[in-house]
Parts: sequence; structure tokens; C-alpha cells
Amino acid sequence: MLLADRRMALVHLALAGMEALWFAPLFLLFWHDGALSLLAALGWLLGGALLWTLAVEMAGWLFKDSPAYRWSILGVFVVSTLVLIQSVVYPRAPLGGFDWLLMTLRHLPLLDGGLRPETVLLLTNTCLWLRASYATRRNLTALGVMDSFKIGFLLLALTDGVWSSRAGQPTPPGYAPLYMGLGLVALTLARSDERASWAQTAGRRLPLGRLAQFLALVGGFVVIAVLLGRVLPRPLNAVLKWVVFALEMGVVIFQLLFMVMAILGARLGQWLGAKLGIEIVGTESAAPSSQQLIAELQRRLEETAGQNIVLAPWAVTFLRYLPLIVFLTLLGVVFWVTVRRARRRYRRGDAELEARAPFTPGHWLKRAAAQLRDIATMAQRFGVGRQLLAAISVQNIYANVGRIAARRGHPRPPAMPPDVYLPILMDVFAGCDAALIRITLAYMQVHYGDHPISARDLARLQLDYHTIRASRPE
Amino acid sequence: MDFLQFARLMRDNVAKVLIGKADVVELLLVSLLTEGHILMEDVPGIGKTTLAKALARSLECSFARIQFTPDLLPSDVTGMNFFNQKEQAFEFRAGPVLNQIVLADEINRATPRTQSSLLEAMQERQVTVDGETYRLERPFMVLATQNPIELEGTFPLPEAQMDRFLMRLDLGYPTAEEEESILLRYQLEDPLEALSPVATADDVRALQAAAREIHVSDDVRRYIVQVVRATRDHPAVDLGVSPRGSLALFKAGQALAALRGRDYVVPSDVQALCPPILTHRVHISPQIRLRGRTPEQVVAEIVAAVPVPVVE
Repeated sequence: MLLADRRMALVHLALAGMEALWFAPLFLLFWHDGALSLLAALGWLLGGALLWTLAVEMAGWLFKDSPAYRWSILGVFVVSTLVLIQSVVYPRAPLGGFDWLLMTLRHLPLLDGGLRPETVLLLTNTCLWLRASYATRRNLTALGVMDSFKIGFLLLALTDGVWSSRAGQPTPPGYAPLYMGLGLVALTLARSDERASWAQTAGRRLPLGRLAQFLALVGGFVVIAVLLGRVLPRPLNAVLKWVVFALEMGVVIFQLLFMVMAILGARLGQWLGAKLGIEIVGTESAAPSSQQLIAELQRRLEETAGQNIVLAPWAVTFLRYLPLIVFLTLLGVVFWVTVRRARRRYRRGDAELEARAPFTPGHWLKRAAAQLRDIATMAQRFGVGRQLLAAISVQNIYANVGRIAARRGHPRPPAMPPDVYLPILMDVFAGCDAALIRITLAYMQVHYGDHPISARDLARLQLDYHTIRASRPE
Repeated sequence: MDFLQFARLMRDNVAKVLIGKADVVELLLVSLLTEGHILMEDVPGIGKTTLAKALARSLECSFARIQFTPDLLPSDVTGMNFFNQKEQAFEFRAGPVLNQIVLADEINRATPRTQSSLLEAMQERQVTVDGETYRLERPFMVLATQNPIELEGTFPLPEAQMDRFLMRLDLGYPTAEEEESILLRYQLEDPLEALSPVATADDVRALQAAAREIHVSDDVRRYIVQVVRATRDHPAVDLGVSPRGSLALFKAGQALAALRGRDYVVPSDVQALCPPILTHRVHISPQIRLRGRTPEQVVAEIVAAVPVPVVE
């Protein structure tokens, strides 16, 4: 934060600069109508962002981690949203009156006919607050700064585009590279801070040589970006044409998929309704049949149509989106169940196994290469013949015992040697102590001692393995 | 004499005078078989001198004790040529370092010049006085002690000189039961006086040669290198372990495996030896030290982090 640590103060300064840069074009277009220069707007916004950071820091100190802090932040968010809506959408309505508030509440759920201004302002304010909280969070990590940098860059491209189209002139040439320079500085410092905190050091002043090297790198990057900005636009436009075409195609495909989903959802809703109707009615003899119910419903609808009664707009909207809501709810349930199962697995220790064996092609290739290398090394030690096969068998037996133990919730930590792991194995496979000792000893003799193993011993080990595998978990 | 017999006889013999320190005796024997030297860092009165004397007596080796003081001169350690007026010739009077087991008591009390005269003998296993070189008889082992509490008027050993010691050991206080046994054992007589040798210097030399034949697989060798390299990459460490340290770990691993009755080294041998061999070779930064972290903790973290070569 700004007052706590010099390195983090610099990171937050750079982040405030980045926020000011992407927000400045919007600020100029919608709030000052071009009466303010871009530089002055940047200055104001930078000051505002720093003040905001300072305020959050002070609030953090005052409230610590109490719920009051979160509630006050939520309150500020709600109030700022309402003030924004009142000042932009209902500028003439008195602030103390409730009419504009009721209108806003009525308009917020309406999604037909495009987004309402109130909804747009709510979403914009949410986005701004999320950005503000992200860029001023107390436990800022290098990864967080990277995310802030990426999202900010997208926003910069967006606001830059809006500015260019509305003001009729692009932003100054060094605008985007300046953002990138600040981002690089913030990222480097955040990474240094992370490394220093891992080492539990307070850090020390950067030597002048290293500082110059670092500044030269950032400066060089910015200069290269400016130069490329002058050369690249023409070829980039050619590429972008294809990108735009692909995007348009994607939108069409997405619309088609959405329609299919909506139709399927509607059918599903009808089917469920029919099913529920039969169950509620119960026996056919005791209550009117479903056909009778539908006829009754049609009659009432015709009556209401005759009386010119229309459903409320929110109800129409709700009914229209009901299948989609059902579909999304189902997706949510599936996601929740999956996450819960994964968590349960993690608690059982299976997560460690999965982390050790990620399903990536690179990992499998590496593992296969390592196994081939092991076999080649063993072939050098034991020769190509029965001894080699016996040694591989012993290794496989030990590996399988380890896998079974891991599945029973006791995986071997990577830094634990086999003889230290043996007592754990004995706990897992109760009653198999002698077999486990034999297998561990044979494995150590083969792997670390390059000792050959006799056919008789191997047969004994295979029996031991079957005994262990058949043992019931505790 | 084989390794197991040697280990058992030595352990039993030393246990007659030093009670309840089997792990320290095992490390002492590892150091003996590796031709290494030991730095014992502990408070006075817990048996450092007794341990050194017991070792010397058990081995039928010559023993000398040097009490290091600020006015001790290098010639007091190495020996000097004096003029024999009767013979009208210079004669070499050997210093205590020319014995086989040397106890350098409170080594950090002597000046660096005197310290380095001993450390040179430890490394080169020879002493040069007035241009003449005298080979030290093997086995040669230095057991140096230093008191970690009283630091006033001392000259701490520099990192480079600490590196010459194979291990740094802490004896620690005995338990209540052990202390009671000590009182009973020493009630009537000093058991050290009655201690008889159980192995000869020739036995030790033969075992030292045999220990070098203990097999170290490629995986275990790679594991040793990984552990040592991890000390250099650890963020809390300013100065990691030198290649001399990895060599020490390698040789000590062979000796420990032999004393435990194996003809091959396993990763747990290496792990058991990491604290005594690596801790005094790791130099952590002052900031880390001020935060209360110790080299012992850092070495333990490294050992717990480096994966052991085991087939998955």
C-alpha cells in the first residue's frame, strides 16, 4: 500500500497511472465535453486514484478485517450507483424524491428492447468498483497485477476506440506504450516483492547499475512499441479484417446455438409442466384430466383476452427467460456437485495424486522419456535378460504398493525415502508387515544397490504383493 | 574386522564412558571412516573431551589435547626446531598436532593465525616447519570444540575454515535417566581409565579403504547434487554449500551405509547426514537470522523439499 512499503507504494502508483490512462478518454467524453485537455484529465484522475487508494488503506487500518469494512464498501457502492443514475438519467428529479428510484427499480429487470440506461450505469459502476478494489487490494500479488494489467489493457483499447470515434482524433502516439511501461514497472516490482516476501526479507535498495538496466529495458520496450505503432497499422488492419470476419461468423454461430438451447429449454419446460400436472392431479378418477385442465386454461385465457387484460411486462420477460434460467440453474447444480466431489477427493488426499500426474501431453512425454531412460540405465546394470525383467518387476511391485496406499489416503510425500515410508505402509496395510518389509528391502536393493534378484525371491515378492492388494483398508 | 563388528565394538566401548549418545558416536565413526574432522559446538561439561579421549583409547591411537588460548602460537600446535646444545644441532620437537586423535579445545579462543596452522594440517595432513614437511600418521582426526555462549574475546572461525570440518555436532544435555546413570557409573572410579582398545589403527585404515567401495547409484548421486544445489538456490541463503560439501555428503553416505550393514547408499542415509554436514556450510543472510530462522531450519526445509529418487 502507499504508506506501508516503498516497493508496494511504487506498485500502487504505477497501477493508479494505468487506471488513469484507460479511464481518461471516457472521462473527457462524458463528463467534460472536451473542455479539459487530456494531460489535465490524466492528472486529475491520477490524483483521484491515489486518493482512493489512500482512503482504502486508511479504511483497512481503521476497520481491520471486520464485517463493518465490507458493509461500508457495499454501502458506498450502492449509494454511488444511485447518485450516478439520478444525475445521469433523472437529472431533473429531486434527489430526495422516491419517484426516480421506483422507476429505476422497475426498469432494472426489463431486458426486452435492449439494455436500459440504468442497467448500463449499474454494470459500469460495478466494473469500476471491481477495478478499483482489484487495483487497491491489500494483498496484491504479481499475478493480481498481471490480471490488472491485462484487463486494463483491454479497457484501454475499448476507451481508446470510443475516443477515436467520438472525438474524431486518436489519442497521442505514446499513450498505449506509456500504459505498457507502467504495467511492466508494476509487474516487475510486484514480482520482486513476492520473491522478497518468500525469502522473508524486507528487501534492499536496488544497486544503481541494476536500476539503470531495469529502466533501460522498460524505456527500450516503450520506444520499440512506439516505433512498431508507426509501422504496424497497415498490415495489422489486413489481419484484423479477417479477425472481424471470423468474429462475425462466431456471433452467428453463437446466436444459432443460443436459439437451439432456448427451444430445447422451452420443450423441457413444457414436458416438466406436463409431468408435474399429472402428479399433482393424482388419480384420473378423483380429479379432472390434464386435457380438461388445458381446456379450462384456454377458456380462461380467452376470457381474459376478451377483457383486454395483459400480463405485467416483468412477468412476460420472466416467462420468456424461464427455460434459460432453468437451464443455467441445472448447469449451476452440476458445477456445484462437481466442485463438492472434487473437494471431497482433495480431502482424501487424491488431489495430491492428481497433481503428481497431470493429464498433459508434455507431462506424459516427459514421463515416458524418463521411464525409457530408467530402463536403459537398468539394462546397463543388469544386462538384457531375466535379471532386467526381475528388477523391473520389483520396481513395478513397489510402485503399485505405493499407488494402492495413495488411493487409501496415504500417498508418499515426494521427499520421503522408502525406508521412512515403510511404517506408514505398515499402518495402511495392517497385518502385512513382513511382506512390506520384504518388498521395500528388495526395492532398495534393486534400485539403490543394483543387486540382482533371484527367481525364487521374485515369486515370493509377487505373493507378498497379492497379499497386500487383497488386504482390506482400515 | 567388518563394518558391523567395528560399529558394535566401538559403540559399546564408548558407551562405557559416555551414556546415551549412540547417534553422536555413529556420526563420529562416520567421520573417522571418511577421514573427516569434527567441530563440536556445545556448552561446557557435557562430555566433549571425554568423547574424544574415549575414541582415542578405543582405537589404540595416540591422543593429544590442545587448549586454545589467545596467546597460543602456531609453533605450539605444529612443533618447532630447537637447538640442542649437547648435540650442536637443531632438533624437531613435534607439536600436539602430530598425534592421531587431536582434541582442539575451544578453538575459537586462539588467534586466526594459530587456527589456520591447525586447519592447514587438517586439510593437507602434513605439517611444514622450517621448510621441512612431516606427514601425519593415519588415521588422523581433529575434534575441535567451541562454546556457543561465551563469545567475548573469541575469534569466530571464518566460513572457509568451517568448510574444512566434515560435520558440526551438538551433544546436548543428557536426559534425567542418562544423567542418573552417569552418576552411578562415575561413583567409584573413572571408567575412562579402564577403557581398553577394541580396534587398531590398521583396522581403521582398512575400513576407510573399504568404505570407498560402497556403491552409490546414479540416482542417489544425483540426489546428493540436487540437495546441495538447492542450498545455493534457496532464497534465505547467502552462501550455499560448496562442492567440497557435496563430496563430504557423498563419502559420509558411503561410511554410514557401511556402518549400518549395507553395501549401497540409500536416500535416507543422505537425509540423516544433511543436518550435521550441511548446516555449518550454509550461510544465511543477516535479515533472515534476525527473523529468528536458523541454518538448521533452512537445511530441514531443503531436505523436505527435494524429491527422493523413487519409482512412481
